[in-house]
Amino acid sequence: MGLVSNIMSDPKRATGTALIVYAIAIAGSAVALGSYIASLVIVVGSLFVYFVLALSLRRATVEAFYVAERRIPPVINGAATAADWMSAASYLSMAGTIALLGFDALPYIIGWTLGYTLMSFTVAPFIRRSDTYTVPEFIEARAGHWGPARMVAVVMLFIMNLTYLSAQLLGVGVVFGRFLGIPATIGVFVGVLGTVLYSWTSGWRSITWVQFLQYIFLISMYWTPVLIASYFLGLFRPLPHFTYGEIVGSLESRELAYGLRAWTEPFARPLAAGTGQLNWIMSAVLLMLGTMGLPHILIRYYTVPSMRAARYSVGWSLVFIGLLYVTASIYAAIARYSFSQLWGMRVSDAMEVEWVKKWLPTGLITIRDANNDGILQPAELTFHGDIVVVGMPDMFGMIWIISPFVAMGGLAAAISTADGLLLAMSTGVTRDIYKRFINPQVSEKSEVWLARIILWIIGVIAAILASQAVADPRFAIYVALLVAWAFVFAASSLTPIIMLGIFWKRLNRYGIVAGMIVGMLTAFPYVLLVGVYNYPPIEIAGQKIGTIAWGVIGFFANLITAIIVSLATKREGEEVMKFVDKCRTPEIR
Amino acid sequence: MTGKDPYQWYWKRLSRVTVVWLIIWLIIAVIIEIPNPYWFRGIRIGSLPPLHWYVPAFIVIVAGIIAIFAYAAYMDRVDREFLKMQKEREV
Repeated sequence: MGLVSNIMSDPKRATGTALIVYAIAIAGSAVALGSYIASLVIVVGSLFVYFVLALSLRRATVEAFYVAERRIPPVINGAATAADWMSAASYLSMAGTIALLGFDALPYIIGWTLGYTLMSFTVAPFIRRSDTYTVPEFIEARAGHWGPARMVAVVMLFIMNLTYLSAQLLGVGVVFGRFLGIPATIGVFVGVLGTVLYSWTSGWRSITWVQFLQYIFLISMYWTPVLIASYFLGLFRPLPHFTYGEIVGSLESRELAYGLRAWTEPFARPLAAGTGQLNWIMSAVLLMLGTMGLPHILIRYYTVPSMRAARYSVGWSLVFIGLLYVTASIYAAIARYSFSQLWGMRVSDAMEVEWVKKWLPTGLITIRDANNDGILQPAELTFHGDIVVVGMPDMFGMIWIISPFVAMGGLAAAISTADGLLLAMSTGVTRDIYKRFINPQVSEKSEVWLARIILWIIGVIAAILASQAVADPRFAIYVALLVAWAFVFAASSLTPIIMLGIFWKRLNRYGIVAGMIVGMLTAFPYVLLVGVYNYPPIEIAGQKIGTIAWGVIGFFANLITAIIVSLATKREGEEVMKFVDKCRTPEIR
Repeated sequence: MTGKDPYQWYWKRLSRVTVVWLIIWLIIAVIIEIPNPYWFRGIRIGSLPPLHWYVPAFIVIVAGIIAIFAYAAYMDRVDREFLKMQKEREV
């Protein structure tokens, strides 16, 4: 016992020991028990490593639980933010979406990256300087400590996070189901267990370091198959990022030879029900604006020591995020190129190709000889976006051990995001509702324990939602869409208020609440009618405005309402002016 | 420099810097994307993909990263000056 507690008292030693045990278990199971058991050990064993790290960091203080004691170095915080940010959607699905939609999917790439650039000089350093603990708390302080502003902000936070969290747990279920043949519902509950356990030990303090480790795992597992595939394709000169134009070129020639529209052709395919360049640009801008209003991301900048550290930390976040995002289009190009190599083959031969044979039963690729000519035409081969990342090791005949490591990376991506979302919500209940409105005198110990209980309750609710999605594929489609819509809701509710709150002193409590409500009322019905009930989207200059692009209208509706209502009502008092001045200026050191 | 209110001075500088970086962000995130699919279409440099693809898939992300670090470094200078003014005032 003495040895164990000695190891567990030092996070570095504990993690090192856990990694050694993990490596020995993988090697041992691979040699003695075969590839299936070894795959299980690789995926499930990673959860053990995270848990050991989280346990070695246990602490029961409010400062640790809510803001990781505000001591996380900017680089570490950047990597943790990247893991917090990059979800199962980024890791498993984004490259697939690019493979399917080509140029028209690129709003996801710029939209989910350049929001950080905007955030770095309009939001992050200032909310760090506010010294608040949560985003709703910041909004309440900005509204002259007016409770309703905080309540509305908490409701907005829950709408965004709960759907987002369910989608992550669904991602965990998919990883377990597809790679290990374990029912996805079980995977969902294992995901919840893992997620809650890491945050349970000491909230943001533990998950920050776990997210850092998860980032290292997920980025190395994302890069490994694409680098190996690039080596086979002769793109390693020095990195495929600068040479993949060669396969894009030959893919396009094949597409043109078959009379298809080129993959890189702009505005050839619809994005979220919208079409045309206006929709393309508005969708990208909306994803950027939404990024800045997601509480589980903003909270990451509360955990660094100073305003200055927050500025640099945003930069590091984008460096680490960029490493995955600039690689996604290479995945997409290589996968599409591999599919194009099957065109023109005899259907019977194509079905005998090793990786095609393996993936046909999953339904992620389908081959149907529609014209019965025995030759595979491009339209007769369809694929699901999810095969692009998970199927890449098989496309190039890589050794079996690569696949479970890719799955382990996907699990890290899903769980690290789920952790951030779950913790932001439990904080919303304990600090923003219980401590603020019900029991302000609660002791620190009780507050931390309450947060821990709430973690379980929200985790189970999200797991039930996710298992519904597993059972009903139609529901699963909505969950995937809801992740994108979380950005619409964030941009229409919190983003304009935070930005105005920092840069415009005249914004007052009534403007804040009116802006958030009007923004949401503008965004929500459109998303519901066009996205769920398939109403025709609004057209501007002949271009259809999709549900994601519409969020820009929600953003401006919020902004303009907040300005008009603030100007029509009385300004906030001296206390709020001092708060704004404080947020704008650096700490006196 | 003494005599000026450091807070007023800092806010003025901060607003100016924010406007400049807002313009930089607008250029890389929005403005460049307008002519991009038309002007750069089909242009190939070495083994890179077509330029109209590479701009949103790679170039603007790198530009976005540089913009953040440039802002942080510039604000370091502004912060230093502000703290110096504060100290001078206290003296």
